[in-house]
Amino acid sequence: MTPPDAGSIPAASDLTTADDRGLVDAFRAGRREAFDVIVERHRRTVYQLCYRFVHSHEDAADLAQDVFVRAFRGLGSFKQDAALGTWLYRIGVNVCLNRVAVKRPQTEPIDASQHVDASGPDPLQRVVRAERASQVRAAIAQLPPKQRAALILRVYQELSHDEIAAVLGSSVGAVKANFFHALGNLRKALNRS
Amino acid sequence: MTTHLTPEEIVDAAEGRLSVTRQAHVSSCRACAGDVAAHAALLQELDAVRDVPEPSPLFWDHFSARTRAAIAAAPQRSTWSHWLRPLVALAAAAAVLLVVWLRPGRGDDADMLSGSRATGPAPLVLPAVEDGPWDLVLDLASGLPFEDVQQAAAPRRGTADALIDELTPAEREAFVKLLRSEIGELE
Repeated sequence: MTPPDAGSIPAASDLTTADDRGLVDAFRAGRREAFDVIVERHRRTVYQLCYRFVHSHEDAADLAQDVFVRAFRGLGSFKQDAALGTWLYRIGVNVCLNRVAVKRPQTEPIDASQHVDASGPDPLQRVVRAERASQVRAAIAQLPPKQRAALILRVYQELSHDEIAAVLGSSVGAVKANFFHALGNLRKALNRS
Repeated sequence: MTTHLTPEEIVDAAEGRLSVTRQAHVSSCRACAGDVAAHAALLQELDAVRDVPEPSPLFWDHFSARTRAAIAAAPQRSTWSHWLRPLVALAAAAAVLLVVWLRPGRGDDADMLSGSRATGPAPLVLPAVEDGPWDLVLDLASGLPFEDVQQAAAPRRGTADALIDELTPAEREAFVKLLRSEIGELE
């Protein structure tokens, strides 16, 4: 591991304004509090990514925590050839795919499907929309892992195909192919339902 | 007539990033236009279920705190341990072997063990060592069948014994030479 350039390590008061590279350098220089700033900066994105996979607040919080614990352990060997956010996405996708591989929910959690606010101007339409949303989530959950990850990262996390390729360790062409097949499989599943 | 869009091009077309020449093909090809339209329609439908419920504002501070606690509770992997751990294990193994090698009455023990293997279960013979705790261990072990004792003493994964077990023949030969030189110095 290359020791960080001392000039690039932000001062204690500058950690909250330092960029991700500066935070990583500070952490490697022994500044544990730099990791707190990393967590604070990326926790919402990581949590949302995890939520996309499990559709449960409790599970998403557990998975997001696991992502940061792994990041803490691995940050010393993180080469910074990718952005810190991309690296966290990579850990997050692996953690989430591992989890959903061993724990496939039989039914959709209550906070994803049954909490329908029917108090709007057209309650029936809202219920129908919620039902369709539930079907879409169920169909996404049935996709093969790489297709599922490509779709979530592209549609919901709004990463570019290049960024997704970096996260998944694939080529851009493979990412687009996965995305294409994910949509094809989704269309078939939704037509069936 | 140009070729139909590839899957990658359909993805690009639905996202509005298709080249002008290929876009011209879509305009003149009903099949490709249909594929792109279906793709775009599904993307719109997916977009409608994008909401992630926002957790309570208190959640984020709680999340940071529990992450800190989880990190503190998790076993730490220090950087030195990656390369030093095998050396420490090897040194421990060498120490164990030295103790066994130098222990009084080892020849009797070796004879006893080889005899047991050849003839099956046999009562353990107490070595002539004035050692209270050792006597207690041997007293307790003397009632056990040989197979149980052998199984209990077998190398386990992650122990120094197991590490020696995993050495290649060349490494093992070097290790034996090292031990012999150490023993020679002691004798």
